[in-house]
Amino acid sequence: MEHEAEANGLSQRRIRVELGQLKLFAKAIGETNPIYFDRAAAEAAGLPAPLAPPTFSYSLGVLAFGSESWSEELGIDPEHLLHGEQAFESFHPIYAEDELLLQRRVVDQYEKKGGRLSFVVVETELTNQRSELCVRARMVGVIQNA
Amino acid sequence: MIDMTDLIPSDLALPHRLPPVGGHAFTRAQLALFAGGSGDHNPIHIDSDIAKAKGFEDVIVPGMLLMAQVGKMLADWAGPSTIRRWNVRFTNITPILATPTYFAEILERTEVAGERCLRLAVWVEVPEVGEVVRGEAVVAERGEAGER
Repeated sequence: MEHEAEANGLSQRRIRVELGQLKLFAKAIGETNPIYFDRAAAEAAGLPAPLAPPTFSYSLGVLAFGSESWSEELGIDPEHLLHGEQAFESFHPIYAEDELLLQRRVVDQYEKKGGRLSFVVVETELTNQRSELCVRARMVGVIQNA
Repeated sequence: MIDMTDLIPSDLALPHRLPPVGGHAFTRAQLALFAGGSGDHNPIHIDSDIAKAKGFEDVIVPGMLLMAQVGKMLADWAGPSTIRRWNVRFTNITPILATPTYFAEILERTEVAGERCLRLAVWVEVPEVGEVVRGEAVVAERGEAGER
């Protein structure tokens, strides 16, 4: 079953976690704890490198795939798409300089309200250079049909 | 430093609401920074002309910026790398200049893969529209900064 799903619509990208991106992300969300953007502070806290904040894995998906890749695949205008739900399961931390493999697939599509709302569920798994599954992320997008 | 003691007293009655965390009003400057930081360049978050053309009153705050703040609240409380699983629904549009308040309530003690955890309800309110985010989180009760 798993192999069928992989053969059908699996997209893969590789991305390196850039410290500069972590710094900008931290500034944008008002994160002041330096373990998330400063190498010396991270090491002083016993971390191998600055730590990615809890939702940064979503941004890694956006950065790796482009925000519109899967919506184009599905023929959805991304400007009509709203972010309905987001979920994360975390198994290992993600650090600056990690080399991640991102694997993404559409796992469900359905309609509500007599077809006026369409939903798409996209799952992304992030695996690090030690082949450890770090995060499984699930996004529910909502499309308002005319 | 990482606090290795329990997050809550063992006899604490649940549910137990944590002190709400107030946030700053979302500014256009922050939304521009977040577009760069998050990689999400959707113009409805940064270009009021396009937001208005799409039927919004003005630019709207990205849901993932709100979720990032919820994550910060949980990590500030429970420690880095302690959120094991969490999910939120974006239940309403958050307008620019809205001032958010972040809430968390411990629902129960639980266990995930042999690890003692707490399950919490989390939500975000802004005075303009009420609740804009609603979800749940499971955090490890003894956090470690490194591997779980």
